[in-house]
Amino acid sequence: MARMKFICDAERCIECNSCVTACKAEHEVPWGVNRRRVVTLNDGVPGERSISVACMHCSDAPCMAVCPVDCFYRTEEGVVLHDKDICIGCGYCSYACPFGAPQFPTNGSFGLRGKMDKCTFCAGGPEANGSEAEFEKYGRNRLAEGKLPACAEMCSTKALLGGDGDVVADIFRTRVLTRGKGSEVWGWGTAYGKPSSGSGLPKEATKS
Amino acid sequence: MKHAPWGTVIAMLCGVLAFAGCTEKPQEGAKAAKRADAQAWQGGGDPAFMAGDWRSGDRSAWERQLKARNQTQNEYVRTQQ
Repeated sequence: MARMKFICDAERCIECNSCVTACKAEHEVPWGVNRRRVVTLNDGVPGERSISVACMHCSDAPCMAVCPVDCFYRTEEGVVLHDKDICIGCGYCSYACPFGAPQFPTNGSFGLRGKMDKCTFCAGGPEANGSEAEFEKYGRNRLAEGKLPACAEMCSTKALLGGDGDVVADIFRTRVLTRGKGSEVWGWGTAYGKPSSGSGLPKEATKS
Repeated sequence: MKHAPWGTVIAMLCGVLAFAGCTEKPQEGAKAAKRADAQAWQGGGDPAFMAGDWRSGDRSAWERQLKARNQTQNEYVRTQQ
């Protein structure tokens, strides 16, 4: 069974924000909500690196652990999703998430905080696959269409890899071995745990 | 036999109607409960947007489709095509 994961190759990311744009356009994400964003480390310093960050769909997701109304669930593919009909918008998940993934739309004159919104790995939500209701609440369900996340598929340099964890790890490992550097994967250890001996990633390949 | 005056009957009817107004409909909201989500391999939605030649509900074909599509992110494969 596929276990869906993201990898962002910091050696390749050129901070073009095409992943952000693809996500916004594909799911018609409202103003003020960014399911994915590009973060630059050591900005302006020689050797700066950029990475694309969104929900990593953690193996042991802290958002699921802290949610007081238990609105999160995990699919068979390891994608962490939530039910907006249950979410009360308390914001606990945003404090717990190490990646800053949970987003809260503000509505109305008083800036009321709405229900949480986050990356769905393009897997929709609990509504019927491909339905209008699912699209309005969670965006497109590309996995049910036999596709992979729009951000990874649109990445111009293929810095962002998304899909079956074994496959993307293999792709990344081949790259690292070919170029002989850049084996650090930011967030991989935090999201999926430290690599074991068959994880598919090169040695010392994580950077939590 | 002495009949009850109409005024008393009407007053009793009004009383019954007034008490009927005191009844209350249950106002308990349905408890929000998790719903079962359909699996991705079950497909759904507009067939025009389906990628590949897998059929909805065929799990192994869906997995093969995703693995094949994943290779489009592998430039070492793409450059050989």
